[in-house]
Amino acid sequence: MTDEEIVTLASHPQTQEEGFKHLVIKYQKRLYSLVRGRVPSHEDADDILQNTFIKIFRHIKGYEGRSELFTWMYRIACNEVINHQKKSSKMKTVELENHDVRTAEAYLNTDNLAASLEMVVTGLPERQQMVFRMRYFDELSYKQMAEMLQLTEGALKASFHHAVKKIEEEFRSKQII
Amino acid sequence: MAPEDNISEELKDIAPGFPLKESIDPPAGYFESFPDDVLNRWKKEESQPIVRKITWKRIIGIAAIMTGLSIGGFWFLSKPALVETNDISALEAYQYVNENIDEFEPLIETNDIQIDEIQPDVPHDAIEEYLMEEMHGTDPEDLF
Repeated sequence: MTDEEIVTLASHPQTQEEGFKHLVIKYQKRLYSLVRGRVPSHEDADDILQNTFIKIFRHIKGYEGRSELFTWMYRIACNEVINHQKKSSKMKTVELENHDVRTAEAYLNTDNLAASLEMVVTGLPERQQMVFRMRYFDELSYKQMAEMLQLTEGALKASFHHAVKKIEEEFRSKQII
Repeated sequence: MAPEDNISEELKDIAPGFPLKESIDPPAGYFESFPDDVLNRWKKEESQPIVRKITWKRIIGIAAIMTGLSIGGFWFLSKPALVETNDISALEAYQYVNENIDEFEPLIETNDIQIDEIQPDVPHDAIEEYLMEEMHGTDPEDLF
């Protein structure tokens, strides 16, 4: 079923439930993967994913089709992740103030490839960092990224290329690969 | 997905040894039950009335706005009263003073005024002569 057909079904009260179901079935895996890569547990990802779809259901009538449906949903999912992270950082601050005396290093497992990658990516220039995350972790196409970031596909490809080369160099120097 | 959008192929071209993203799978059966779970939650939420959470921040914000409006309103309402006093006509002012003359008494000079203080340069004889002329030759003594 095409995005247009799904949106049409979801916009009419008689068929909206059917439209919502098709929407969830089509995009749940991709959005789950996107969210799960940003939060530490499946429970967090599940909570965020449910909130994301509820928001999509509520606002689907306002979707005007100016951007791809996935791009629109991607933005909602990212906002939900940010809201979740804000809430959990508040909770963590309270926990640390009250009980926790461990240092920040204890939370990082540098043997883990994902943690090492995250550390290297954080050191990249802002644009390369953003492009790398959107392409590598979120698997967005260059077309979708260009639409969101208002940059040309050529510029985005170049940024991704530079980012990958820098990470590779850093990994080689640390004998990670 | 277009061939150029395949991230694995692209990474092989740029950096052949680059680690591919590890996919993190959810518990078994998650995607089978998820559509119904989210739809049930949506139906439940839609059937409940929206209750707004009132926080202290909101209460303080509302109080600040109300205080601002009260001060603004007081200032706005007190300003036209001053303007109105400028619009009182001379006749209205005269009537007001006349009706409330008691309130103005402390401001009025009530001491006896001597004629010498008003016209100190006019000689006494000249005044007498003026009065005689005004009375057409009648002797002032005849009046008493």
